[in-house]
Amino acid sequence: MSAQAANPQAWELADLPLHRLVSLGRRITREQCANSLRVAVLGDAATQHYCQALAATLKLRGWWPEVYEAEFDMIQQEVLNPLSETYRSNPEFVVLFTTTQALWHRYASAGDKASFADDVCNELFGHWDLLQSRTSATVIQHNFVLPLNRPYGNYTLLHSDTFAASVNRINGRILQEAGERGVKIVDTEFQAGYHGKRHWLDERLWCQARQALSPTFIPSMVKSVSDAVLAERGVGIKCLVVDLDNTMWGGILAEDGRDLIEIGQTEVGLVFHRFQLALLELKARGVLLAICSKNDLANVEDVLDTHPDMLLRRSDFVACVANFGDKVSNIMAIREKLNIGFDSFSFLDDTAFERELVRQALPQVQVPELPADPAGFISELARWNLFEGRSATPEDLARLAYYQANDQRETIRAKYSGLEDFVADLKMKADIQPFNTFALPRVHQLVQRSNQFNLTTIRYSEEDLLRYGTDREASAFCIRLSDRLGDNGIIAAIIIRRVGSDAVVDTWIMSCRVLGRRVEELTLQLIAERAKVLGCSRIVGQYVPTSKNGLVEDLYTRLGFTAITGTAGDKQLFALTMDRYEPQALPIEITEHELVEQA
Amino acid sequence: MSDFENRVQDVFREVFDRDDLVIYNEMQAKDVDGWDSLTHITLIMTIEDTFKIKFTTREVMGFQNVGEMLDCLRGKLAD
Repeated sequence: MSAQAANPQAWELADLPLHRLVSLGRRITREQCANSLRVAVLGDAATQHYCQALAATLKLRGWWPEVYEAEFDMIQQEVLNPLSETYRSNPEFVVLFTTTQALWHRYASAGDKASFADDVCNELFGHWDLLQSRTSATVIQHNFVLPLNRPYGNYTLLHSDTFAASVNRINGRILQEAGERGVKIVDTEFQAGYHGKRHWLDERLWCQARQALSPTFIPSMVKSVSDAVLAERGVGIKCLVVDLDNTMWGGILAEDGRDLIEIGQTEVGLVFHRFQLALLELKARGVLLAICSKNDLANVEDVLDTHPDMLLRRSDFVACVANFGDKVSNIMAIREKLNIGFDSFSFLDDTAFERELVRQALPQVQVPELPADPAGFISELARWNLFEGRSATPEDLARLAYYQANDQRETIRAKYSGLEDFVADLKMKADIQPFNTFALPRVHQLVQRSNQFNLTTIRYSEEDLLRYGTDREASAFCIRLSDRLGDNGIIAAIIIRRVGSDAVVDTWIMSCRVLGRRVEELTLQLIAERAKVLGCSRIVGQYVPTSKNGLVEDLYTRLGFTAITGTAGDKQLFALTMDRYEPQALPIEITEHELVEQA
Repeated sequence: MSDFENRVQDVFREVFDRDDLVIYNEMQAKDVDGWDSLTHITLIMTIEDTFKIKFTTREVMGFQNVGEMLDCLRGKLAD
């Protein structure tokens, strides 16, 4: 899906096959890049794939690179010679791509194995000194992959003169020195471990072509190099906007209720518990967390404040937007409050519809493709590497405190105008089903649990619902909605009854997840068709207010019904005569089961 | 062209970024624009990933043309 897109987002560059990455990069012109930078790449392994991929990655991120690629294995000469091409290219970044495979050959021929690690470190530090004194470039140093050489088995690292122990020591020392000298480390060891060292350290490739890693992993590695480079240019995610239902906890708050969402105790609950732990780590390093959820704000605040198993609390978020409006408008409101660019945002949502909408409307916002199983969230985050860079500055923490102290309510000022087009383009399909044995469990669940888009809140039992399925004076159906992004399942249940010449809408329930997709109008059309079959001349809608269903207070008037005045009790009635109803053109294709005939 | 050959050809088309590339047994690196030692490695790795097999170093170094590569690949898939 999005991985095939012509304009991939930064996070997905790590997952492209090398040849596709290079091919996409080739199509970017200088004019399409707002910025440029000069990079010199010096390696002791083959660097052609590396440089092609790095150039493509930078271009696709909007930075036109001028890459100087040194000859193979010429690091020392290039750095020592003040007249070398490295210096003449006047680089802003110098990347030292040093590899474990090349290092092993040096280790093998080194006289004193015990001092090998320190000798290598001192040489590297000398290179950094020269580069930093002769240029104003930022030095980017790859660390080394811990090798598969294990002459002492589990005791290998205990023997400081082994190659593995030497690499370990080098990695530790360069990390510390780099911090002090302003050199940026690219964690190759992490990359190799993540993808599987056995596959990363492909001996065949080194022997055939001095390739230090399989081309399969080059996009992932150079993505992290580009993160290190661009972090120096101020690129990075400052605010992570998260959805709640099935992203922060299991289940749907509006349907399941606060006591049934899964967080903390169950297996699925533990998955979300651990994900919340990971988000707290990000918060601790200065990433701003914000909520953007299709929910009732009071319910969300109740969970954040009082649910015993929630780790994230209201004070952990700099903004909490929960309503039933579109998420683009809501993210725009969060942006306005924080006053940072859209390119400083990432948005995590389990729903394909929301991701696609935000991606299309706000292409600068990083919207990663969350895996279907939330247990994969943490490892995916690691690969996307959204949060490169320095630790939280006092300024970051002050900003966090400022937003926390600030009023939590967001005002939605700007309204996103592209929603209609987006919805029209979804290729939605509605499958209309009777209350049959397949649909019944989900219909029952909707009837029992839904509070918000629920006009009458009558809690029927399964037997009641089955009876409606065969009642000739009634019509009962549910709607299963799918679109090009996936299947949403059964999202609405409706029961109408014939009372004289009226078709009374006894029950109308819809999942809040599909608000704004014109399903309400589709439902009215279906109701009208059934009212006609029942021989009715008027549709009568009912609204029974509860503390939770204010959302649909004006549903019937919005759909063209007229309020019937003088009705008793708290039940409000609305009417629409059949000859006044005009079906609208809807962007939804309808398929029906044998329902109409049955009625 | 068999299904198998079509799949291999698809890999070639992707790697060389040319939708109209047609492979044949006698085809060699010199017959294809952009087939250098670098793209050769990408090609081999992509075939390995696609067919979930591994070529040995000796095999890779021994291929004289596309036909020999196909034969070797067929042998591995038959195992």
